[in-house]
Amino acid sequence: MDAVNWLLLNAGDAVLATWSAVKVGAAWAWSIVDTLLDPLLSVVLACLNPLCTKLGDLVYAILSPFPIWIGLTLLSVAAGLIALLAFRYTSNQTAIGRAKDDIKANLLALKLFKDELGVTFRCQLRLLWAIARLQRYMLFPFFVMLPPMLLLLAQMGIRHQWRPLQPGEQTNIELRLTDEAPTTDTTPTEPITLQPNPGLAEIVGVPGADRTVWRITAGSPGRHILQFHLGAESIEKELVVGTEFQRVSAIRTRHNWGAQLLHPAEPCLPADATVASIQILYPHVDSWIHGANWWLLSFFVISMATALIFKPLFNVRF
Amino acid sequence: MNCGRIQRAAPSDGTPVGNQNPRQRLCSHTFFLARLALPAAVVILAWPDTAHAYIGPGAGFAVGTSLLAVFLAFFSGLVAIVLWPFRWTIRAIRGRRAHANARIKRFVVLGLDGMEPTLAEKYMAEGKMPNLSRLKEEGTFSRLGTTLPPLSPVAWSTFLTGCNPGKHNTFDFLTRDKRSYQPLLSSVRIRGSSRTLKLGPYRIPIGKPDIRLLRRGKPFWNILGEHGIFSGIVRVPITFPPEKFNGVLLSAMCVPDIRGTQGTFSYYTTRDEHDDYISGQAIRVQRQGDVIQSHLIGPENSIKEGAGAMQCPFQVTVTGEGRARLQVSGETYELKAGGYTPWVRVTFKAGPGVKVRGICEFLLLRTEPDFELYVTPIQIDPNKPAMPISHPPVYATYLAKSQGLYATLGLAEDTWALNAKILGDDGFLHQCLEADEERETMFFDTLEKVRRGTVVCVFDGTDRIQHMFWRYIDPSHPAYNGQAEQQHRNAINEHYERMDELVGRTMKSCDDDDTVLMVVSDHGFNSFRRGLDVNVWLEQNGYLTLKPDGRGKKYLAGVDWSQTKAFCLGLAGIWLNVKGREAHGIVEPADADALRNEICEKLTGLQDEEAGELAVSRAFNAHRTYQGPYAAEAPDIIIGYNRGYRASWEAAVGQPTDALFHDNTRAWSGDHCIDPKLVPGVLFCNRKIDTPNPRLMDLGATALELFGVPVPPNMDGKPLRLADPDGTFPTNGRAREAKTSDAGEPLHKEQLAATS
Repeated sequence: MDAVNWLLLNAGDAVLATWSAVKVGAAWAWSIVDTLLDPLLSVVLACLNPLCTKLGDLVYAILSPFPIWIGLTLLSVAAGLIALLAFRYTSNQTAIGRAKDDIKANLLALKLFKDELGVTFRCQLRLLWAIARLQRYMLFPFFVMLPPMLLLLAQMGIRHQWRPLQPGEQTNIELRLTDEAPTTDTTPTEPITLQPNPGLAEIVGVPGADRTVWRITAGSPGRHILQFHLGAESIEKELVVGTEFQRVSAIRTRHNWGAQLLHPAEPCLPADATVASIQILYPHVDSWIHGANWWLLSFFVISMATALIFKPLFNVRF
Repeated sequence: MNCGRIQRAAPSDGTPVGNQNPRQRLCSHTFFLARLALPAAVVILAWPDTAHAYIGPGAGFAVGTSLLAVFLAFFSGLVAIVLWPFRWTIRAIRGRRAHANARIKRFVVLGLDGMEPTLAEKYMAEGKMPNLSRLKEEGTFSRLGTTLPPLSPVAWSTFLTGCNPGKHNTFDFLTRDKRSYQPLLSSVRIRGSSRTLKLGPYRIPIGKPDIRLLRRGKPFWNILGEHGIFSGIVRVPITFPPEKFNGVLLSAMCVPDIRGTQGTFSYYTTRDEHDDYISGQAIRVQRQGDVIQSHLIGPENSIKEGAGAMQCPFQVTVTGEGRARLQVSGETYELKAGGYTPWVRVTFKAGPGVKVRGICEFLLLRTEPDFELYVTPIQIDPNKPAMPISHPPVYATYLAKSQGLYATLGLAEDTWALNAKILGDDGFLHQCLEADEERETMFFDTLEKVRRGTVVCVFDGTDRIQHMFWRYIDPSHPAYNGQAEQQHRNAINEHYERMDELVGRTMKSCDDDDTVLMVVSDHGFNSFRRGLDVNVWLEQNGYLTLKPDGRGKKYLAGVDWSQTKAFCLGLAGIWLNVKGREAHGIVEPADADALRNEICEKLTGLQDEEAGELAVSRAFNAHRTYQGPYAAEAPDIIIGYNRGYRASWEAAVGQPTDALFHDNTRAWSGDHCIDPKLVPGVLFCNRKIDTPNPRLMDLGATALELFGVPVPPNMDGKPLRLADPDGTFPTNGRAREAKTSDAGEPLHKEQLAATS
């Protein structure tokens, strides 16, 4: 009885503690997976990213005569169709059909036999089981579609999430050092410099212990390569200035497959570099349709609608 | 994860762009995309959220569906739990406390259409039906009085209403149109919407089609429902269109195919000559190389003026001898001679966005020397029924979703195709067994779902197989023809054994003291060796006159109505041509009863001189036999044939021939449309019954009595007296003594008067 009282009294803490433990466990598990995947995926992405970026440039060049939202719509429709067909041919349509039928049957049974509580509970259990089966049948097409879809979204992200700096516009550039970089309490032991560049009209540096921030004013339009010097080490970062719709690379980081996947436009920093990342705080694209964050919602809605419209035509069940 | 790394960095001191903290912006961007880049599959699958959208619309939609399903499941469960006490209270307040006066929790009727008591006894004695034997030993086995005439639509209507046919208005499969003398379906009338909106070539129907149940009387499950008792009714004949009540119901006999007929098969062949088929259509096709292209024939296009019947194209490619590939409605099926496809969904396009969906099965008969393909009647798709076939309408869909597609046609087994020798015995048997398997799944699902209330399910296989395979067990049958060595000589025996196994499984799921299980048949069976052409008999006796060229014309087209007093149409009996009732009537209403008696007298004891046998046991004056508001709608005379006889095929379709009796050489070799005393049904029960001579019409009243529901005074059936689980009979007066007629006899007016 004491144990029960103790449990009741500490139930909230117990839940929180359990949740924390789950989170720690998940993080630990993921770090292991990350460590295992990184050597392979880094190499693969190092090869794929330049190709994908070139392909992305080509596709967006083709779409450039259209307004941006039309380009996004066309791309979403194409992605929806390709995903639909991929799903059609990589999934077990019969099994998915059965699972969906089971879901519908049990939902109808809940309506038809509502006076029987026992039946209601049994139907709910069967319903959950059918949902679990449906999710299981989604696994294979999920894994098949995952890589191309992520590569596509990364390419779209570097175009729709941020816009280039406009001439005269101010922003920050932040350079972070690795934990291994030699520093004093307040500054790095080696001075960090940002070389003047036509793309930079004005530079004001603010050094810190593990990162340096430059306040810059955008200069002439174009793609500029910024040069950073840290002692003998030299690092480059692309800066885009202009008023047109074009891709930008907001951050360049050290070798890691996750960062490579999300920021495909520039190669990773060398593995032995003392710089952890260089980030340019580009402004968000401002649009409710194709602007920052909204582009993803638009993509989701349009591609889903496309899939739903063409689902009967291609006889796909999902 | 990436977001976590960045968060560990020191905050920026710079001025935020766009009034945002750079760290926050960086974090939000990276976190946003990190959710894409780091899709830890386990996390995503265990925690379905918008991330699924990123891997494709299909998965996104599926997750959406799943979440919706989960939500609906819990919501409906919660609602069911919360509302249950309220529902119970409301019922109590309205005086409908379900089960308050019930002696049992569940009443289960397993109908085996046409099970013959003598065969059942024989197989039980041979030890082939152990489960029915056990039911007999532990409970009851008895003959069950059937109806006059002993036909399924009549008998099952009597079963479900507890009334004689004079009160439920079903006397045969067919009746006649009083104006045109043409045959009409007796239990249902289907008409398209009467009002349409004309838009160019299109006619848009306004309102629903008029589908009217002509059977009268209230099924006992409707009465139970009014008292809060739930029922699950599966494929009981004459329940189309379905009526509203407290329960679920799937209609059976008289549900049409999508062409509106009672089942029209299609036969595609490259042969030049072929016959005209009853309930079937032969379509000549051309073979070009290995490819045959044709179309399925659907219903008339009621949307587009002058468009004719809708079509669904298909293509068959012969891939070898006895093998082919079928492409229809976007799907491909491999065909092998002698093997059916599964149910195939086919779509007929009526106009822009208007489709009619059906289901059918294909059977490749042969590819050489001629191509021959059989297609079952195209039936209503239970997923999206073109007309209501269940109550509530979603029940048909529920069954389709839970067990797959199933036959929806009233008479699902294509006896006509076997009669026409398009189908072989194997092909027909496959249909019977498949239909029974589908029904068994429905039945046990209903038993599982309905734990308290009534469950009734009728299996048709016994009836259809006995109709078509009786020739194998009757050596004196004209179609027997030394075929006793054939593969299917034991088809009836084997099917009885299958039904016994079904009974065993049913007993297992009803193995509690609170369930009363009855296994019943609506009538028995006998041989159909010789057919009496009743119209010829009427002609020979001066009651019917043919036009000079009228002999051999179907549907009474050759009858001279100005000189005809009586005619035969359908299986049950004879109609008088009464003045003021029939369009060209000549019999004075005042003379009709005398004429009925006169014909009955002449027909009773009619001998088949050629065979030296009694052909007609008795003929009944229907107006003295039936009682109720619809008694006048009955055929004037019902013929009770002797064993081995029935109305001839020609008499049934009103086609007078030149001979009085005909040998029946068709596969349809067994029948039951004879004197009802010769074909009683069976009654097995897991309780003792001490009522002598139980009748089919008593079962509805028995159900009401068992649930403590008053039996309506207009119900002719009386409750059977059932023992309690301990074997004792209740003495509290709830079980009233049944008033019955003679053994196995139908209830007659005189008898009703005597027992009331």
